[in-house]
Amino acid sequence: MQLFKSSPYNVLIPIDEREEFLIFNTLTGGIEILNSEEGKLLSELSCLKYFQKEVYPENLLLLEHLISKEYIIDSEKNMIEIFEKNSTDHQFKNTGTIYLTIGTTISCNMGCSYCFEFVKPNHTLKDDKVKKQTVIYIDEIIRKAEQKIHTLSITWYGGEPLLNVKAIEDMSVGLIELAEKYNLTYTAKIITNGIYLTETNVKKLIDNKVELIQVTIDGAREIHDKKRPLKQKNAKNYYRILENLSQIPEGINVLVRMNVDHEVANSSSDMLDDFQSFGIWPNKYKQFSFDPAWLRSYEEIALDEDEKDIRMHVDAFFDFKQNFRLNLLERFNNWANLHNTKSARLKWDLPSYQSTCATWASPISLVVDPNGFIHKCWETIHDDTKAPSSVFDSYDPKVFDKYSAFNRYSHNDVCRNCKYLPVCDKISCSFEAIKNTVPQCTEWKYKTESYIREQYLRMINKPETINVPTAAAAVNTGHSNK
Amino acid sequence: MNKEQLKAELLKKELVKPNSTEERLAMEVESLCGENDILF
Repeated sequence: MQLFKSSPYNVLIPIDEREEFLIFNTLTGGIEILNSEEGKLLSELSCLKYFQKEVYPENLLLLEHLISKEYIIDSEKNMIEIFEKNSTDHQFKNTGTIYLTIGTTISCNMGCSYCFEFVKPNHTLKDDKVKKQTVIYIDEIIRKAEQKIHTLSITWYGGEPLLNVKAIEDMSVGLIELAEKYNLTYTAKIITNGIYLTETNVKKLIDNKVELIQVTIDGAREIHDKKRPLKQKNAKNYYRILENLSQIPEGINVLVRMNVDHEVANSSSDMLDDFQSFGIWPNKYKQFSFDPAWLRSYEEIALDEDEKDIRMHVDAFFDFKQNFRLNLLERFNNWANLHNTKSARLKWDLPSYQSTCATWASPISLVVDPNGFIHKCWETIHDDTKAPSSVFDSYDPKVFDKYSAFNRYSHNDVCRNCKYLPVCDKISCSFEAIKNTVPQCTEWKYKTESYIREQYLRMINKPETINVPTAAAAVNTGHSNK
Repeated sequence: MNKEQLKAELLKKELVKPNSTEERLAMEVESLCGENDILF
């Protein structure tokens, strides 16, 4: 007789209002609906080290159904060892994507209190030798890689990268030529504070194949200008960014990032009012989208008591996230009714399967600072001492072996035995995980049950407001609070 | 209900189709990184 056990990644969610249970598996991303008796049976089985399905003849079909979907697995199967070995043997070994982040400058025109670039040396990428050698270095990676490289993905970064648009123009030429030479897919995006998103600069970005602009706006004017102050006193900040965004032509998408604390949350409706009055959103809903993120704390930045009070607890953030989505939905549908546009619904917001940060663990991905130093994390771009190599060195993947060896499944016993490890975006940031041994836990650890329950009941009771769920696309949201 | 009907009922329980372990393992090799719907 074969022995079985409950998957260690099951999350059983009681839906008391309907005398049902949902079972969600953090590894597979699947969700099943169980009646009350079936849910109680699963709860009992999860307490057993192993069991025989034949002991439950009246539930045999159910158990076979759940075995086929891996909610119940072979008792001999050690999932963590399987994934640990797979990661050691295969993680990024055959990856075909080069993720190249280029810091055009470390300088910035803003002085955000929460920025992780704690010290900003006055480095700007002006040296033609660094520009040319970076392209040569990438060419060398492509030629030396044993696997076929198929994609070159660029992120323009800083500091504030638009302080040095010339570097973007100069280097894009060589990088795009390189992609054409090797028949690679070329993608590029930029992380900017938006102050210099002038018509001229946006045209330059589009001409240089930048497809996505990520700009951070922390609430409406008063709060944004306090959180993200310009170093130039009395200069127009928030409204200048909105004016810039309102003039962005089609052909480039914009992700509006919000670093959410209580003040930003309370200000978000005013911000959306401004977006509408500037004709940005919902007017250009196909081009603009929002990404509210939980404002992360850095141990290097001491917070005073007032600032601690403003930071959100995870419960408050999830409440905000759902209310913000409902706010977007209501505003969009009001606008859609007036503009002969189809109305919208919420999509399910589910934990997504995570991998280790590619920049850290992939031997063919890197961050290049303005002096040509190579870093393995965005967070060290301001610190030359953390750079393991330079574009002026010959490319040798062995130099990056210690980074490639990072294994999320064996990093520490706490995370190793956590049922939320497959969806943990915090251990995806290898830099933070190594620094802290046990990194901060993913917010999903605390909110998966209640968040899924709320969305399920909304689907039952208000189906016109939410779509049917699909498995969350597997993405790497490591460093999701940068 | 007969066995076939019971199986059909079980299929209705699926809210989100799971990815198999094999599919997840394959994702480690490469980095991982609503036509008619407007979804938020």
